[in-house]
Amino acid sequence: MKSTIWKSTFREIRQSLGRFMAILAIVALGVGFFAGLKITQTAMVRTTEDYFQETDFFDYHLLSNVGFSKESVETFARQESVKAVEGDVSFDILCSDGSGEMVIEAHSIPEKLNRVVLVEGRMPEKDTECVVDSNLYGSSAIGKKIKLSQQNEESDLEHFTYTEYEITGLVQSPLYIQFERGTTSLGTGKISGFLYLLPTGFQADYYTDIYVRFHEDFPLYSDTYTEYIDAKTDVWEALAQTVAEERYDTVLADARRQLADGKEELAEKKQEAEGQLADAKEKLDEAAAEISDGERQISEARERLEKAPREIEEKEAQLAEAEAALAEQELQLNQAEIAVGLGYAVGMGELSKALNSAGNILGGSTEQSADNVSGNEMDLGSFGGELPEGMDGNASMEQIAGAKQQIADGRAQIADAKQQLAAGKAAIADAKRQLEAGKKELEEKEKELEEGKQEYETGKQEYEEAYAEFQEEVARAEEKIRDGEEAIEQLEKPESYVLGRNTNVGYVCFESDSGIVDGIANVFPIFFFLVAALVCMTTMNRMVEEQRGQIGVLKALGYSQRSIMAKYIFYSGTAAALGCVLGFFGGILLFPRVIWYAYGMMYRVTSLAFVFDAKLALISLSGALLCSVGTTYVSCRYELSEVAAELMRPRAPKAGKRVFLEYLPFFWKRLKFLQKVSLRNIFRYKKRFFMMVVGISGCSALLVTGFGVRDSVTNVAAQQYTEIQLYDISMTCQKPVEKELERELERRMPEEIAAYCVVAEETMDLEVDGKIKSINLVAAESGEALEPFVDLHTTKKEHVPYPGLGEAVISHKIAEEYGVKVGDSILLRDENRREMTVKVSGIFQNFVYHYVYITTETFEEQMGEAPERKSVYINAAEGKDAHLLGTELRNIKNAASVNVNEDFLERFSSMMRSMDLIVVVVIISAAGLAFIVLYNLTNINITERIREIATIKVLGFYENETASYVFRENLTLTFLGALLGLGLGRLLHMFVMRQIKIDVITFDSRVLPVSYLYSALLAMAFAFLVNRMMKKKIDCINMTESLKSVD
Amino acid sequence: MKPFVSFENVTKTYKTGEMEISALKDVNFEIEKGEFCVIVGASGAGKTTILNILGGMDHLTDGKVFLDGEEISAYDKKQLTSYRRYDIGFVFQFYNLVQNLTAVENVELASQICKEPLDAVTVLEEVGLKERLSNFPAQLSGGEQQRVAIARALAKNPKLLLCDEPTGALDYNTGKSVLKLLQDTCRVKGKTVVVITHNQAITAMADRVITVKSGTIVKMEKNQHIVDIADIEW
Repeated sequence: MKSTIWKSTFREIRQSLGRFMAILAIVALGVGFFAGLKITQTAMVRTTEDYFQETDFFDYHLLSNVGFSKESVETFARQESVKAVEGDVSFDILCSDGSGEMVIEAHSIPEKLNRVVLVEGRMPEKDTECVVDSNLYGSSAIGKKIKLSQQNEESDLEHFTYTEYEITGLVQSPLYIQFERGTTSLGTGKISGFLYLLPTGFQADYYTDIYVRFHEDFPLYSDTYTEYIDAKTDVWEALAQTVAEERYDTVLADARRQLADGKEELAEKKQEAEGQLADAKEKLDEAAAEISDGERQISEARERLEKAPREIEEKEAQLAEAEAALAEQELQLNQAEIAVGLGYAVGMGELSKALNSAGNILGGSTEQSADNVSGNEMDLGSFGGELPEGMDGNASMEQIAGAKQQIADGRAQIADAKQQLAAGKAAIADAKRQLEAGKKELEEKEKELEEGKQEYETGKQEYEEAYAEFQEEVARAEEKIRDGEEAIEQLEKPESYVLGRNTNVGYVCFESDSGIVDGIANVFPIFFFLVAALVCMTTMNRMVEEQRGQIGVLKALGYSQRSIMAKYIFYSGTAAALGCVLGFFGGILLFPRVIWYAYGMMYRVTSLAFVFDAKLALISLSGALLCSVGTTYVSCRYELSEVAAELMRPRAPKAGKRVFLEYLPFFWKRLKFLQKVSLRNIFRYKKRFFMMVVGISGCSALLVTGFGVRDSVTNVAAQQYTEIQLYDISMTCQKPVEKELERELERRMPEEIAAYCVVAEETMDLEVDGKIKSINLVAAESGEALEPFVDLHTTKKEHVPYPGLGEAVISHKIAEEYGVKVGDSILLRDENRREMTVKVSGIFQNFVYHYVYITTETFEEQMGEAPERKSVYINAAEGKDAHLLGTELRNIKNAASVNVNEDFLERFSSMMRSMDLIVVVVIISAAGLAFIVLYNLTNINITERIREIATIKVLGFYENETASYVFRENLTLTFLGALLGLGLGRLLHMFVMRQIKIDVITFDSRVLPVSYLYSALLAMAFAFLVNRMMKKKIDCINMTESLKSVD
Repeated sequence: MKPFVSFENVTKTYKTGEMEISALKDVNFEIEKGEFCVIVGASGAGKTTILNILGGMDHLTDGKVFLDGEEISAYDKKQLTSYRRYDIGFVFQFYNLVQNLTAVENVELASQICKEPLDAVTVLEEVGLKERLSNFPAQLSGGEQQRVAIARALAKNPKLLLCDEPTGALDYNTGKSVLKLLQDTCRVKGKTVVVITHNQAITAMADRVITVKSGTIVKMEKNQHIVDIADIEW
């Protein structure tokens, strides 16, 4: 090209910037859409791949029913091309954080493989600390404690060192990139989240899981990866089995040895304890003997002491008697002396008689008193009482002398006796004193004995307790040994599993979910490119037509056809190339991010990787150039082939033609004049008509799809919880619902609870043609009982009768996915691999999770036992806040978890709200499409008809009349396009919905009438907006244009 | 009595950037009702500017313009539109027919926005196009198209018929017949007709001739010797 043509080209661009921008914008939009959507899957997969690479996601996950020894890690690490092996300890455990109970999967913090990514806070430093699932807890949880529930079995709790752990941070784990956390045999059967502890936080001395990673970096989900892993599987399965068997042997040997040790220990301990007990018993017996001895002595002493006072009294009395007798004797003695003195005269006999009697009296009394005194134990002296034998009555003088002697003797004896008496008195006083001392001593002894007895009692009790304990311990130890024996007997044969990545839910789901966008990416862009091509074609066509004269002049001046063509090709080519660059980068930056954001509700990985795909860029550029340059070439070729002279002559205006509608007089005649004009104009330019209809229908189809996706998604939760699962609260119990709980619930009726229903809920596997799907089985007493809580209806809102014996009703997604029809039989299997076969009697509409309803009777008949009725559906009374009721119900002892459906509804709704973002993107794209098409078309229309518009103005059309003269066609075409778009949108929506598949949620593929209305209104609104913008341009058209010649 | 049309000291200057181009300077003239007036001048003399102002398509810079006692120069945009709509019939050099409308529809395009329009078919019959009512402009000859244009202007039943070089794009004979039609319109219907042309020859058939040169009126005279169009040759 010569420099003048360059100049003219650039000037051309500057002067017709609107036209240039239209091409640029539509190409940018088309390329942006195409590249953006196409790159999204790649970007998503790449991001996840990087994430897996960074965190060292496993290749193999080894499991065995006997765990793995710490040493086996080295065995695995020695294998070929192994990059790293790491043992992991993981246990499911019931936890409570104050708000309720849930099952948490606890792992040891890995260092090599499946490393966690800290989102907030810090990693644990002590074994009492943990980091938790960032999906489950927010930042407010940091610093709080998570407690292991008391409801846990002892055998589960014993894996853990402590019963509570402090949360120090939130983490993400590559093992869980999806929101699903898996299932468990504990609690509700659903794992709510995970936590990570330091290895010392666990008590286990073995690994529950082993993760293996190889030296490989095949692309994620690539066939090469699958092949690589498949090739290794056989070797590894064998290896894992060997290791498991070794482990089994060690475990078994250990157990046996431990058992033997235990038995031995028990025997020893038993013996020792028995010896100790026997000693104790002996001591006790001795003590008992001593006590009884003491008791006897004391009672003897007491007896003696009791007797002593009486004896003393007797002795005193005797002593007093003796004293009295002594006094009498003295008196008699005195009398006798007197008598002796007087009696000389009196017969000797008498005298001697008197003397004799006196002597007798004396003798008797002294004897008596002496006896009395000696009766006491004391050493009383004798009176020597008897009178001497020598006294003889015959010899009275002698006798008198004798008597005198005797009296003297008597006196001496009396004195003696008195002495003895005094001694006796002293002895009695002594005895009394001794008695007192004896009494005191006795009291002391008694006290001592009492104490001794008490000691004995305690000793005895202790002994008995010790004995009971001993027996108990022995029994326990024996039981343990029996358990151990049993365990050894029951120890399962070692089984090992080599699980690949395709058993990780997140990994698998991500593959299919990331493919959704790619499906969509194949449809939308084609459409945008088509519009882009049409826009380019009409624009360039118009441009070349406008510049016929100029082309003619250039040709006449001798410029070659090629260099003239180059100008137009350059014009459209630069517009397209610029648009392509703009659109490409805008697209690959914007679209993946928006979609990634929307995916964020299901996948938590990292921020999206930026991916540049040169191949895609090349395809985009070629597409863009094909649309612009290609169409330019086609439209220019015809004009350029004309000879210069012909080009320089004004081209005959396109002849007016009757349109087919005119042959429908009943229609045509009814139209107003200007409407006829518009209709003629519409049909005058087929290409523009086509472009307009395609563009606008595309725009409204996009809108319908966007709104429709939202309709299909957002209403799912609302329908599930307001039309199907009508109950307000579902309560899951730890133990089957008992009378007490029912009474508690009934107590609240009808003020707080309107109604309740106890059912059995169980997670089961549904098997159809070898494919397995996890479903929720609900067994209710009867349909009537369940009726106020669950409304089973078909997608056409017809009532589905509750199944009878041996029958089941299933949710429609299962039916659709597995081709199950009414009358078919389905196989259900529980965790313990018990199976039941039921006949499908109905298919009902359901959106969240998958449900199968049966009666308890059916369950019992099939499984041989009644199901555990652990779930209660509750309807809150009118006016009672469900949340408040839920909080109250949580306090019931048996309640494991209480869920308020409103919460689910809210959670789902907020999840689905991210869909709004996609809708916004769609609306913006649609608006962009509509604007470009409408602007371009109107622009062409106006520039082409400047003379006509000017003439109309000269004829005296008011501004609004002039505008509507031009725009009526726009609006008509917009209306037509929008109408067509609504239909197309429905199809597009159906297609898109088929691409979007999430397992647990069934979308309700539908477009609400109001969405059609919105779409149509928005499309029309875009048209109005463009018209408003373009009206200025019409107002600016100078009427003097009408005076110019056609050129 | 005031004349039907009068220009009083009309000045028009165009501003393009720094430049001020004076298109009309102190123009004064008047036209009586029912007259056939020809404004003649060379290219760039300012006759089109006069036409634009008189036709309500452009504002003037200074001075006053009256039509039938109304001061057009004081009208705002909307009033000017109404003025064009009800009072002016315009005939263009290049006919400016809407290609997409048939002859009768082109006439209707104008007539349907007027208060007391003439019947489109009748007017077309009057201009001699009875046989071509339903033809599109592309199917008509230049003369026929101009007749349609004249019919379109007439159908509005305007106070003033303005014609901008009505013969400019036509051959000699056709041009003559078109001028004949215009003259007849003036004579028979009593319409005031203003024809703008560079063709001095046409002045012979006019009642009044206004000669423009460099933005001023150099001569305004009543034609004392009106010649029938058939007798004019150029």
